[in-house]
Amino acid sequence: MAVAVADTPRELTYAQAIQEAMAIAMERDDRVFLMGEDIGVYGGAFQVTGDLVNRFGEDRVMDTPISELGGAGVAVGAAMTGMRPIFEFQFSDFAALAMEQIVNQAAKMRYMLGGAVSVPLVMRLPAGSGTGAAAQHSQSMEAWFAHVPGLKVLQPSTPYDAKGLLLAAIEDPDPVLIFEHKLLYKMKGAVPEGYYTVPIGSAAIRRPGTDVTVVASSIMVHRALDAAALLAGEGIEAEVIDLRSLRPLDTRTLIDSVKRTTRLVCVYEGVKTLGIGAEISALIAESEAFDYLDAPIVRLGGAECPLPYNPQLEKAAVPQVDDIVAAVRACVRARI
Amino acid sequence: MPTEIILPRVDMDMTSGKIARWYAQEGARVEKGALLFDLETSKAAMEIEAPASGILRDAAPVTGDEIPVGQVIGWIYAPGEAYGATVKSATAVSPPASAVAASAAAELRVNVSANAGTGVAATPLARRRARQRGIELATLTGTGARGRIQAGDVPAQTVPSAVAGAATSSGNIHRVWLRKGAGTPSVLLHGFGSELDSWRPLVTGAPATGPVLAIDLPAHGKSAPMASATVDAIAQAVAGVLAEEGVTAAHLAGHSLGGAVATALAARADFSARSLILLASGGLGPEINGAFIDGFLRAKDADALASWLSMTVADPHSLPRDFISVSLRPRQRDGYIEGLRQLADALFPRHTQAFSIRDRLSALTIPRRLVFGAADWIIPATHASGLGGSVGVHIFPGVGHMPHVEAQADVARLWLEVIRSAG
Repeated sequence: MAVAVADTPRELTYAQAIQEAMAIAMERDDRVFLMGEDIGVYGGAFQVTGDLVNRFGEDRVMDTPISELGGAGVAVGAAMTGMRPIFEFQFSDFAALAMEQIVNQAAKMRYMLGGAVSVPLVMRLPAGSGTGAAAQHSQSMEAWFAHVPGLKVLQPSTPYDAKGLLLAAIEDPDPVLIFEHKLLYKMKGAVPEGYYTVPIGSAAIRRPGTDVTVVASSIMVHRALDAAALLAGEGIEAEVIDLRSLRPLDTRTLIDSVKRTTRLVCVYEGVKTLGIGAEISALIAESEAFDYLDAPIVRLGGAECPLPYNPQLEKAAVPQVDDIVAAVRACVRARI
Repeated sequence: MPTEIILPRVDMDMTSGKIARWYAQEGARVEKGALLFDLETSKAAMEIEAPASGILRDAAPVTGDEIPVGQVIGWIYAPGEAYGATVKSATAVSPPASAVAASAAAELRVNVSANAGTGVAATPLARRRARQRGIELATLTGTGARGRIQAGDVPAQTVPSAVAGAATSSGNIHRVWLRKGAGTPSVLLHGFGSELDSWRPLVTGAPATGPVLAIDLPAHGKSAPMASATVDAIAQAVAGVLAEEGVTAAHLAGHSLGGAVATALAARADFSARSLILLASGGLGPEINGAFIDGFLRAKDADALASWLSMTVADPHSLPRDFISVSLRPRQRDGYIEGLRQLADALFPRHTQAFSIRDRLSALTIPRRLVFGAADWIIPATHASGLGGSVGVHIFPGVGHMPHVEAQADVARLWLEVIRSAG
């Protein structure tokens, strides 16, 4: 039987890339196992774990009771005692139920015990709006956790990064929270076979530009790229930076970019006030890039309201491509 | 609202000036950017441009009296705008000089720090450019939202000025006063393939040490190439520039090739060097990285240039991205690279430094400092040895061929130190 050799890179969806990363990690390392609600025979709320339970068994793909607090507590304990758990929340919103375990236990243990133990825990959190799941299932809470020293917080925007960052997170000795955008799960992209990692704490310049730096993460990277393509038609060359990692932040890439472009627009789905764009704006204003700013910094964030169920209102509550185009245009054309 | 015409600060030490003449009469139409009046300070006469287009009103009469910086000396009304003689008439129309001084005292306090906190809306980049170019923000008109001054509103150079901040190119050697002020000036000489703009970060970050003149060496920056170049011929050309600028004595600082030129200049009888600080200086030994020179001259685009320029620093991240774009800019000009290549062939034949300043450096009696990076890949730091005990040598670990970039604060401090040690 002839086997066709693909001359184009293999493509996987974002969800498949995550599943592949988990399978590779479990094959490489006996300590890696999965926990979460309905991740076994059901395959996960968004079918990310899929049929892994059939490959690795119920001991390594464990369904937990409907208690995020309890499940997260078990995961933190397992990590402290030498295991490498990957804990899946059905929706990132439910991490609020596990706040004690994440913020007061996982993030603090290494510090409070003088480095005697670490918590090599990975949590996967389906996040973001756009699925009509309403106020309690659509939030972007990454900034809450990025505020906590001791945690690492990632937001992959492509299938390639979803796999590489997850494998890097599993290797990391400290708790890492990965916010996966629900609208990205079906997105396809090139994903190499086998093991590779994407370094935590490094941003990626997705499109080089000369007139304005647009900093985005997760699904906003794709909207920013669409906006940049439209703006190029008007003669505005936007540089689009994909943060990938909120904590630690790749401050060098951000500062260098703003020094080149002299303008900054921060685009993020989380609520605008006290969100990640506030942090980036402040760090640029504090940095050597301040002297290179030629326009006020613009933050384009989510609306100051619980996310509406009505699909039109839901769309209006988070930045869309048109909003980014308008914000960048105003920034570059000095209308603000 | 009419636009104020303010007596601008054109000199760091300036507190007042005289109006020598108006180019427009009361009630006449003026165009933004056209000559508006002549300003005389204790140091120079300058032509000042109109900050806006419109009708000139309440122009202060030419009395020869000193007027404080920041004082309103007239107004420009937009065409059709109602002229009210009561508008700010108290400060606008020619009170006696003593009254001006008194009433302007409060205003002076606001304007005393030039471009900082003047109430002028300007972006940080515009403020930075104005500061670097010695331009008063109040003399500019902003095109941004609500009249905000943006970087593009700051002219490339102060056209009417014959003094500080101005660039001139007479004699085919381009030079810019990066900073002005009183006292013995410092003269800065850049390295091979660089240009005078490479000094700006150091000068901006350094404490005030008197006026600073930077020169584009022949074939570099905006200076013309030179036939049969030698280090001594370049030093002679620089000496000519200094004579034109009225500089008879100066503190000299040189980087790489500029270090050799500075030493040759210091050894000349027709010029009085007060101190010498040489950064990764050439002329101290035969070795030089020939692959770098060849590759640097061959590089056609930003990426290639960035790769070669990264050899000049120990940590490639310390190389600002705009350093690369600035380095790329003059290469677009016809014959620029050819001029550099001829210079390299003459000065570094067969990848050897064909000139030595060791004897002259040792023979000088002024304060002398050598600064090298231990990780210099272009000229080895070992060249700093063997010059006798009276030359100060500073070697920075983890620094490459660009100590003034990679160890900017330290170099600024040493620069100040050597100037002060000269008394």
